[in-house]
Amino acid sequence: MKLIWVHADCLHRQSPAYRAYPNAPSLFVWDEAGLQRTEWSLKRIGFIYECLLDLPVTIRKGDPVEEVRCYLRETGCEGVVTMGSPDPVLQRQAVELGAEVLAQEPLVETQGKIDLTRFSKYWRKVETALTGEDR
Amino acid sequence: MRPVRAHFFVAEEVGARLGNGQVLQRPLQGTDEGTMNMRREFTDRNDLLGYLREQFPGASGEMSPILGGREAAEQKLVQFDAQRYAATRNFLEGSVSKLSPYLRHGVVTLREVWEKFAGRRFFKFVQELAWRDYWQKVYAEIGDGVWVDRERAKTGVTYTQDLPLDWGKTGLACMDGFAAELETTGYLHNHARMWVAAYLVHWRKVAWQTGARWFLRHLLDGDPGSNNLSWQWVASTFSHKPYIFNRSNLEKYTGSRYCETCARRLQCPFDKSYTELAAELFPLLRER
Repeated sequence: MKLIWVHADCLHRQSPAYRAYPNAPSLFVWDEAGLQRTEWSLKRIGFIYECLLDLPVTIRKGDPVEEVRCYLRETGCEGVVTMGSPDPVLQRQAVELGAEVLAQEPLVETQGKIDLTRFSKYWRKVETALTGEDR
Repeated sequence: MRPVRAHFFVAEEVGARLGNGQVLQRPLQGTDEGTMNMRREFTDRNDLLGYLREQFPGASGEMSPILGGREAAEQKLVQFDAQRYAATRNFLEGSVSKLSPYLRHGVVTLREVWEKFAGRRFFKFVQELAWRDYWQKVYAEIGDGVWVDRERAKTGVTYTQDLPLDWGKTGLACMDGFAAELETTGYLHNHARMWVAAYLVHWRKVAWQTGARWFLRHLLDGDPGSNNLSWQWVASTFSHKPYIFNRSNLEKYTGSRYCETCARRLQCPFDKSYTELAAELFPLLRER
């Protein structure tokens, strides 16, 4: 059985991770070093905490990699699954954990590499798919 | 106040009834059985606030009036008047979705929101969803590079690293009001974010990274992708020119609510034409 590592970039009850592993235990870890670094106010923590209460997730705090490993041992799970994120810290942690990383359903499917130097170039690629052609 | 809902894992954390009728009180933050599970049951938001203060002593402030959770997100979706969005979104009183904190944390997805408002009828709103997708794609590509100038600033200005000593008490009713609103609620209208960013970077010569860090401490929807790249857009390190505003622009979109009572309304630093402001704020550019 896999363990779902929930992080703050995807607090969705129907995330691909929860859908793919509906019976798996899940864990969220407040990254204490990360909170010290970013100095998030209590408002931000409170908002996320309220979102977490909607999910069937165990909540802990500490070092995410250590806590996930510890919970793996407690639950007897054999691997970690998590949701993809552009956050480099979460990406490094997922790699350390050897996690299976699932992608969120994209806003729009795009072909090939998109030029991201300006929004206008990206928009030209996705406009038709997002707004239709019924001008 | 609405109690915080808790659906799961309640019994194991708040106590289990023994066969003889006794109630076994387990520690709420238990070290029993080797676990350090945090609480999932609260009587109300004050109870949650007290717990969070105890657990996160380094974090300052109160709870936001904005509720977390899927139900709150769905309410915002229902309440949003997308028909009025394009015409009114730049006004502080205009129709905006206020979905950003929920999108930021994936409580709802861009795809879900788009499916509700797809099509040209909601063109402007769909474009804003695309902006968020775009920022996330850039963030995924450059990672920590969101903290570094994407391009050379087009201002010719040298910046300081600290927030101004009078920040929040400038005497400018608009800026002080926005600072207080952000620190109290964790939310600011997008137009107010642009004015604050422009004021800090272009009038006070504060490095955009300093402002971006302050926003991220407070904004419920703050993420380094959308936030930092928007600051860079204002600062001109991710755009062709610096973004500035003037009093006429601010009065129009705020309904003059700040200017009427502003202690500095007769010495307003924004009460000029764009040409005058550009010459004053970016003098080195004129010499080139």
